[in-house]
Amino acid sequence: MIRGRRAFRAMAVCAVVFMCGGNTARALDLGVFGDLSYVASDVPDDEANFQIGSLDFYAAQYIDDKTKALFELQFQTFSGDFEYEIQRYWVMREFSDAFRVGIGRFHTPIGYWSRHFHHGILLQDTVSRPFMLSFEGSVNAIFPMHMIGLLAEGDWGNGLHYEAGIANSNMIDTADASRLEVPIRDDYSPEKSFFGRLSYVKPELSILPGLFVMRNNVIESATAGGLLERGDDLVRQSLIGFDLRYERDKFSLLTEFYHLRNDSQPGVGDAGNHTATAYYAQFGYQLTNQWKATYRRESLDFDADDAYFMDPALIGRDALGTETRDVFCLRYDFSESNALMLEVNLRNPELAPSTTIATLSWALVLF
Amino acid sequence: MPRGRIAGCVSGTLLSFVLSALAEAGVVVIGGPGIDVPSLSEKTVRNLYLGKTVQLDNGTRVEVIDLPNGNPVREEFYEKVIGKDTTQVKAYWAKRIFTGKGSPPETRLDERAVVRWVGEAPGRIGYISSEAVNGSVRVLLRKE
Repeated sequence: MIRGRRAFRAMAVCAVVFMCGGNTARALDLGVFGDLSYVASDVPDDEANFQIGSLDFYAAQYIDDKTKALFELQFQTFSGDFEYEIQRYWVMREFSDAFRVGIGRFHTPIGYWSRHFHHGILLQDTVSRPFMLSFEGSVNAIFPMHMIGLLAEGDWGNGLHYEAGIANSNMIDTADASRLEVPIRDDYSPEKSFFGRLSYVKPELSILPGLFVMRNNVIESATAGGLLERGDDLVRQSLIGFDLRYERDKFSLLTEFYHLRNDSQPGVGDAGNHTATAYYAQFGYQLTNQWKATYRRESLDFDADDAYFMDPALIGRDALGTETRDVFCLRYDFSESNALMLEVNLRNPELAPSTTIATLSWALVLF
Repeated sequence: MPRGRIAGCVSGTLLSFVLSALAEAGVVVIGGPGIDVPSLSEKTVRNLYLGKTVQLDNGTRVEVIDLPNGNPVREEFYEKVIGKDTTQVKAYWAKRIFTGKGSPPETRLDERAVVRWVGEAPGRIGYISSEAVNGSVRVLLRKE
């Protein structure tokens, strides 16, 4: 009861603090990011084809002088069907430079890529994301790329920038052999996930380093026929990693390294502890004002008996195993608003034949 | 065509000539109270207007104000000082907003409103045509 009263008092204080302050709204900013592609591969029976890529609508506004909101809705084709999903939807209040806090659906503050490029292919130097950073729902989705919860961030004045989040758990429906999901609403677990990133940001410096951590429980969401009861932990995860961006003259480097520990729970695989590593290193060279060449090496390595990766009911990489990729991309910027990219992606999974996929993509922003 | 409409067309054309001639006369970056630097470099102004910094080199925190789209002084300012045309600037801000790196400066209706806003409170910076400068503000950068 006392705990309940304290919680109520804390909520009331928060509400009062949130209600104090500004009242000046600014213009609503609208935009659309999109891409249209032609894709060819050496996969047998896979014909070259034109593809409508993602169509990403966003709206953002300072709804008063200290409160900002953003909404992002993405339309995308999956297996011939056009699907839509709310990718980001949040409201954030600025209390000071050192403390901004918001609630909603964000990109998780792990690594550099997700929180800087989001779903905008035009913002990237390559057509594809590093495969270990794939969005939820895909066989390559290893880490939660979205979170639904609270996110605080701020600058400590000396170049240090922090992001910290508490969010709903991630789930897998093992009865449906599905993939890692970030459910829009339900959380069957009392546990919450934690994310944090500390980075050093100085615009005049060429080097931008970051350190990040995650504590996350992957929960069973099957109502019946799953490995465990709904709401039970399948795997408890802890992650530590670093990212680094370096830019000097015409040369650029972007790299991220992830060290993941999976503690499989009783009833899941060998119920043991396993570690996995993933990284990418991307090197770019600006050939002229409009041409840029990029090479990226990607790698995912894990224990062969790690159920999180190898159980077909979980991530389901049993047919692929570990993997490396080499990505080459040549980009031509027509202007600030659109660019043409030719990417060749060499995929080398441990347990399946290597494939090469070439993509010519026209990425754009409407504003 | 009625004579009145012809006269309207002529005066409208003349007015736009005068406005663009005025705009071409030069653009100045102005500061109000609390801006204790003798001048600003183009690089600093560019970083301020592109949202890359909110501080001057000496650490003074500042706010900047913009003119609305379509204003000839704005077009001249962005072309001469920022190095982008207005379409490029819009595309630039679309990307910044999407990635959560900021939002474009607020706007004031015309140059007179910019001068008033800059002079009203400390730490404010704006830009106007060189003809619109008055004693309430100080010129920090001049671009002919």
